[in-house]
Amino acid sequence: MLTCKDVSDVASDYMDGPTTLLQQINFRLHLLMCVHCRRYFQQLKLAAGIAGKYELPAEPSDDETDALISKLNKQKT
Amino acid sequence: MEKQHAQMYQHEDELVEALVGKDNAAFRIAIKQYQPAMLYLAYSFVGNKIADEVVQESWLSAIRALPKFERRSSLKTWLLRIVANEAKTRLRKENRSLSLEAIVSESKALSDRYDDNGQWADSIPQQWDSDTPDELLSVEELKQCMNRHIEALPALQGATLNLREQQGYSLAHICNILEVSESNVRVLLHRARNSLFLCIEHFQKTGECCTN
Repeated sequence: MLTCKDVSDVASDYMDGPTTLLQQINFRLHLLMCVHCRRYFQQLKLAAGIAGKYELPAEPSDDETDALISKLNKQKT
Repeated sequence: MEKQHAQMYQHEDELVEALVGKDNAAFRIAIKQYQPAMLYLAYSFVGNKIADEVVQESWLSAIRALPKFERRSSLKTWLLRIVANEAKTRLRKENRSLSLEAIVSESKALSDRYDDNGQWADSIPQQWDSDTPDELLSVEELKQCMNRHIEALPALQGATLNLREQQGYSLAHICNILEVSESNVRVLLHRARNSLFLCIEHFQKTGECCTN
C-alpha cells in the first residue's frame, strides 16, 4: 500500500509511463481513497501543463537567416 | 517561396544531402524550420543573453559534422543534441553547475509535509483558484512569476522540462539529446515539476512569487 509520500515520489513518473500494472493499481487505489493526494496529483499535472504552454520563439527573420547562411558559407571556404 | 523550397525536399534525407552539398536554399529551409526549437533549448540552458550565440555556434558545428551524420535519429534531434553539447561546454567554461542537483530547499519543503507514517501532516494541498494552465497563466503576476521561475531552474532541469512538456519529446529522445540516463531524466522531471507545483502553490497562498 502506497503512503502519501510514496505517491509524491512516483507521481511525476506516473505522468510519463509506462509503469507496471501493479504500480498503476496501487497508485490509482491510493488516489481513490485520498483527497489530498488526488488534489496534489491534479495540481502537479497542472504545473507541468504550464511549462507546455510556452510558445517556441518565432522563426528567424529573412535578414537573420541570411546573416547565418553567410557565416555558414564563410566557414566552408 | 519557402513552401516551394519545402516541396523541394519531401524526405529529410534529401534535405540532409542538400545541406551536405552546402546548398543555400537547404540552409534557409533548415534554419527556418529548426532554429526556434534550437533557440528555446539553448535558452533553457544558458538564458536568453547568450542563447543566440550558442545556436549560431551549434549551426557551425552541425554543418561541419553533417557529413558524419549517421541518421540514427532525426535531423532535428541531432541538431538539438549539438545545441545541448554547445550549451554544456559554455556552462562549463563559465564554471556553472551542470550536476543533477535538486533545488534542495524545495525538495525538502515537500518531504517535510509528511508525518513519520508518510501521510500528509501539515500544509495539505489546498484548492487553487484555477484548474487549467491557461486560467492560471491569465493572472499576469503569476505568469511573470512562472517565467522567472522556469528561467531560474537548474540548467538540466529547465532543458528536460522544455523538451518533455513544451516540445513533447519521449524520455528516450531526451536521453539521446541530453546524454543522460532515463532514470536521471525521470529525476530531473520530478524535480522540475514539483518545483513549479510549489511555486504556484506559494503564489496561491500568498499572492507573491517564490522566485525573488
